[in-house]
Amino acid sequence: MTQTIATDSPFGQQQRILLTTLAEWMIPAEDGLPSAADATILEEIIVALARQPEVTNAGLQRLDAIAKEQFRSPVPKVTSSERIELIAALRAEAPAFVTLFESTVAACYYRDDRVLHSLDLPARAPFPEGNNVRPTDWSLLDPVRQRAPFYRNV
Amino acid sequence: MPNDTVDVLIIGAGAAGAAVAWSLVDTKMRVVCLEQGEWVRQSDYPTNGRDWESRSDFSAVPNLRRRPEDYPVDDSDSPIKPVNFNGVGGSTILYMAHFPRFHPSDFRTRTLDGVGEDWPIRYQDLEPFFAENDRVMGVAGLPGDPGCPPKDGLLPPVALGVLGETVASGFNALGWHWWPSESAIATAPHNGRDKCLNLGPCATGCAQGAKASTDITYWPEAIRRGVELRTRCRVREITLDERGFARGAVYLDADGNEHEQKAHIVILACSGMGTPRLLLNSTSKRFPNGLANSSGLVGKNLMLHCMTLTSGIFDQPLRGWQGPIGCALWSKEFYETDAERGYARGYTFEIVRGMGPVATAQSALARGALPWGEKHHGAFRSMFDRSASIVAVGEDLAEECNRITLDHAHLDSDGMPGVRIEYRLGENSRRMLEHSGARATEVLEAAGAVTVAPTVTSGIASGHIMGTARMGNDPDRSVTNAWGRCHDVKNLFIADSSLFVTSGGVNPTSTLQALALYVSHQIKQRLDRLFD
Ligand SMILES: Cc1cc2nc3c(=O)[nH]c(=O)nc-3n(C[C@H](O)[C@H](O)[C@H](O)COP(=O)(O)OP(=O)(O)OC[C@H]3O[C@@H](n4cnc5c(N)ncnc54)[C@H](O)[C@@H]3O)c2cc1C
Repeated sequence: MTQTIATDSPFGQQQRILLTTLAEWMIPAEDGLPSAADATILEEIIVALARQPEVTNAGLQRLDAIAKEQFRSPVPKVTSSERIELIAALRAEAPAFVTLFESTVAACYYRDDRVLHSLDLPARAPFPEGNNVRPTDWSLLDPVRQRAPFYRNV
Repeated sequence: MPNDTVDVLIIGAGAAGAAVAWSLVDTKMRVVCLEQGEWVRQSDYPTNGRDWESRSDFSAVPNLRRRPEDYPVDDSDSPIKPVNFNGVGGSTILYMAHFPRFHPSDFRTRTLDGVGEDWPIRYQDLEPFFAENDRVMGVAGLPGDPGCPPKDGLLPPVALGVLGETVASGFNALGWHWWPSESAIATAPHNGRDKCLNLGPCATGCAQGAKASTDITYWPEAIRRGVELRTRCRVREITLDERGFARGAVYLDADGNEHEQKAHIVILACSGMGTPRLLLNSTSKRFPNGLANSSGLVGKNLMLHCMTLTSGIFDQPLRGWQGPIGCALWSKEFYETDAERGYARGYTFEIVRGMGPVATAQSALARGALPWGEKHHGAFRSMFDRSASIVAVGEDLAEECNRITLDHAHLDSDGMPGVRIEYRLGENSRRMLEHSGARATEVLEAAGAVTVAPTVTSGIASGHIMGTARMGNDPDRSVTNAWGRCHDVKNLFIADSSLFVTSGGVNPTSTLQALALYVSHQIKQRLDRLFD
């Protein structure tokens, strides 16, 4: 991440910790796959969320408050069973933030080269190379071809 | 001088406006088109970049896209959400290019089935214009479909791919009709456009230029032959002269400067949403309720198509992210009325290819179908590239309560009111939706789906916006006559899908462009007595 973006980011250290924790909870690492809190992916998430700082900061504040009120714990320290309840409560109390967060994490995670390779997808833009679709064997249509015209010819 | 009186002023450079401009060029009249949006460069389309699945500037939802040329659309009172694009090419910039024609019966629903109204013209009247439009746009397909009238001159059909073949096998197992979709996609080089590369997401614009959007089909030739197209010119109102004829249009340019362009003939092609908006915003002493609105029908009889979306998960990869997303195959099995089904009219099934990874994850998360935590990866792998969907595009019968009105609470960047959509699904539509969801489930099961999700019937987006200034012979029951001339204003024409009397059960663009060519043909035939 460049210095400029870090300096311009509307999120401080505390918010970054919360975002890291949530991203890790949402998509953890697995067998060679990065987690959504992987440094490269996380920076993209933060840049994207920085376009909607009000929703994000309000959501993170709620998250922090729920953790303290319900579990008397800072967010990163809640246990894995408490985590499920915490996310459910956040979903109920800050739905706009959860929708934004989920959609942003999905957008950044599922365009990462490592993730795309694991899905057997090319890590590139669709244009200009495009894709090959196998030619169709139109004998598949034989049963339909036997049908007489059935539209109403009026 | 740009604002001298011109012969013809067209408003809107989309699917219909482009076809009209191209057709009128023959007359050697001075034709000017005003378009509120810009040209789009193919290098700007999302598929040029790695973030191709996440760009909101090419969203089809105007309230998300929020370009200065967009106008607000309040769709909170509608289960179907209208989508569009404003720019040269109009909504064809983002359309999926599924290109069926209306069926002959769609023009005769009152006579045949006792519902809706008959059009004042027939399929046969439009047939030469369907063919002409196909030639200019370039339409891929396979001749011989028993579900539709014959046609020729088609480019090779779009390949079905694994996904299409899989779903086709489901139709075959049930003995139901299917056929490769007609698609406005160059599957071979056509009129200087190169062939489709199977990029996938046609609905964010085609970087290859294989999809027939009118900025690259009709417009280049129309401009070469003399039509003047002015972009970033938002028309606020149609003005009248003392005889009650349209005098021209007041518009705002990109810097917000106001101009009036005078014209002998004014043709509206602003879409089923933009045309009633402009008419309703053009009030005068003579027309206090909106221009050409003595029938009270401007904005009413809105049809958006009733749609269902049914998705199945398969246990093998379908390579669904490859190939034109909206163009694989269609089924007309349930298109024509069958009284036994409990509703009138019918629907087309259209098969939608799969989504890319980002859209797959986002839509599953939005449905609550993709968990957080350690189960995330397994769940994602079980759905990505394993999903096939069937959309039913059903005919919705026109009802006056379904309408577009001006929304004075939400203004566009030039201070012109946005639109409000009031739309509900009638009883006939509800029964059709139920039928289509059940049949789509049967197809997916017959094709080998391991699970089929409950059919989605609301919140579906539709770019099919029809009926809001319908044509007809009776001035009390229609806004224009049988060739698009407003009953109330003899030099004012409408040339887009606002004219539709019924919606058919297919995507509208092929038909609305044929209709636009028909309207301009009628104008050309009658130039010596056009205002009689
Ligand atoms: C995502 C999506 C997918 C679609 N898929 C399909 C499909 O597969 N098949 C199909 O048949 N149809 C499809 N459609 C619908 C199709 O795009 C429309 O039916 C068609 O473009 C409508 O043509 P039109 O000329 O009436 O309006 P448009 O093409 O929308 O053009 C209207 C033009 O008028 C301009 N305009 C409006 N008001 C003003 C004003 N006041 N001043 C100046 N300019 C103005 C607008 O900016 C716009 O450019 C789809 C649409 C979308 C959005």
